[in-house]
Amino acid sequence: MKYALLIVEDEAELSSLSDAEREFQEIVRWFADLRGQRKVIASGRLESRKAARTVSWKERTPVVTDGPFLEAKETIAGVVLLDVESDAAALGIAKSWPSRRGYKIEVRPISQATYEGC
Amino acid sequence: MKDASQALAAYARDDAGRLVASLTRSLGDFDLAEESVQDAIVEALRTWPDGGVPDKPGAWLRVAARRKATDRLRRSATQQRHLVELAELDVAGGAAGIDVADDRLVLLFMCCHPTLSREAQLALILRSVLGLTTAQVAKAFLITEPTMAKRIVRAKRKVTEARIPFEVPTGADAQARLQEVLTSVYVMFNEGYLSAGPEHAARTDLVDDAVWLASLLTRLLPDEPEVVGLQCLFALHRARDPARFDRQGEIVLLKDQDRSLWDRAAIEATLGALNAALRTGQHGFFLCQAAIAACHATAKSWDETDWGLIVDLYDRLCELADSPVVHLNRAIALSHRDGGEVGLAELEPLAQELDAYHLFHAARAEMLKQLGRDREALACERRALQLTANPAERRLLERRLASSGLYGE
Repeated sequence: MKYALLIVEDEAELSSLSDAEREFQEIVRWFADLRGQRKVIASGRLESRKAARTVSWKERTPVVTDGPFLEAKETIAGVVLLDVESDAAALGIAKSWPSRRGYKIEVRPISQATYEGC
Repeated sequence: MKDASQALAAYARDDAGRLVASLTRSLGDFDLAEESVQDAIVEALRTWPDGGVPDKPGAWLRVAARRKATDRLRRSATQQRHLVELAELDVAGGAAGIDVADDRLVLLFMCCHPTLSREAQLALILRSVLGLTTAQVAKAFLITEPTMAKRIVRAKRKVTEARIPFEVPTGADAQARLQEVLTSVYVMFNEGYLSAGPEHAARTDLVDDAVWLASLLTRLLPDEPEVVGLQCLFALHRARDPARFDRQGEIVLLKDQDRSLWDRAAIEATLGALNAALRTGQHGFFLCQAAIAACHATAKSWDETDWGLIVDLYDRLCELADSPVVHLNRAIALSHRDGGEVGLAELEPLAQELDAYHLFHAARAEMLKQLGRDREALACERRALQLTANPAERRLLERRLASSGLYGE
């Protein structure tokens, strides 16, 4: 089963630095272990919200506007695409993400039809 | 005298690249722009020491560069059109102190175009982005000035012939082009950090230039994890600087360094930026290199180094860059995690390709010693010594040979 972990960053809360050393080790280990288990299909950063464009429609005419669709202080910083055996495994991986103030993770299954069709 | 050239170096660094970029954009001629700025810098070098540093050195350089461009254009009748453009530029910007847009990123991409050799890329960056004179660039690369001058002329001819557009690349090859720029800056840093030349153990000017370029890139592309990675990598190396050489100027290996001399505050500050970049999951070549440097920088002692984590990071690096040197470093990390036997087995397939690389033989010697195979280790150390030109590295290997007790056999 394939899942997308959306790494949500809340810039307002991303100020205080606490124990950067431990955080460093945990974050590298987290990715290395998942990669070692071949559970990561792909991972990467999303360009900053400033680079986002939103396409919407007026009647049937597409209108492109600069900026993200949702105005929020939260932004999706990165995406990790997983291939795991179960929903519980995906959630477990998200829960094992080295927690840090200012970060949340949204776990979304990728519809079977989506990737089997490609 | 020294003040004038230091002032010039500072202004050249701040303004030369901007100036070359804005002239290139307005004249559409990189060679002309670059030569004119170079002429202005050379003139400053000649006149500032006696006449004093002008009140507004940046503006002085701008005016001088534009005058040099005018002179060059007058000499070639076919380029009258550019003269008009130049005059318009003067009107638009006033005679001095215009705000030129920061086109240095574009300039960097142009200097690092993949049709140019790495050597040519570095020479062009140093001259046109950082405003070094040909003589200074030649000195940094330990070659003669005429040889360097030829290299620069050839490189610029290539830029002109290949019609390299003056723009930041977009689309499919954008990431590859950025990697090319970062690699050039990385090579510049390494060149200076531990030079392979016979005279200087470290050429700190090149290191400073590379660090400056990395921070410029970070300002221009603050969200790009690879750029952050490169800057963190440099910062972590430099944080360990105070422990790299002993009082006699001899190299102290990482294993033996006094870790209390490392700049803890710098390491902490760097980790903050590194962590944020790592969390995005965009783990490219330079971010992984920085992470490896961070593993070392955060280890309490050599023995407490997390070799497992380092091996994992090298695994990722091998996926990204299948180079024999990366495999060599992975084998070294493996030998610390799993023992010399495993490390030696990993080295085997690299033996032919890296036979001329002194660190391959030094690593092999280290692993053989780990297994008590001292005589074979000695042969490897001798081979490493033969291949090393750097005096500090040579002395290190000689000291090791001498302390083995088998020296001279």
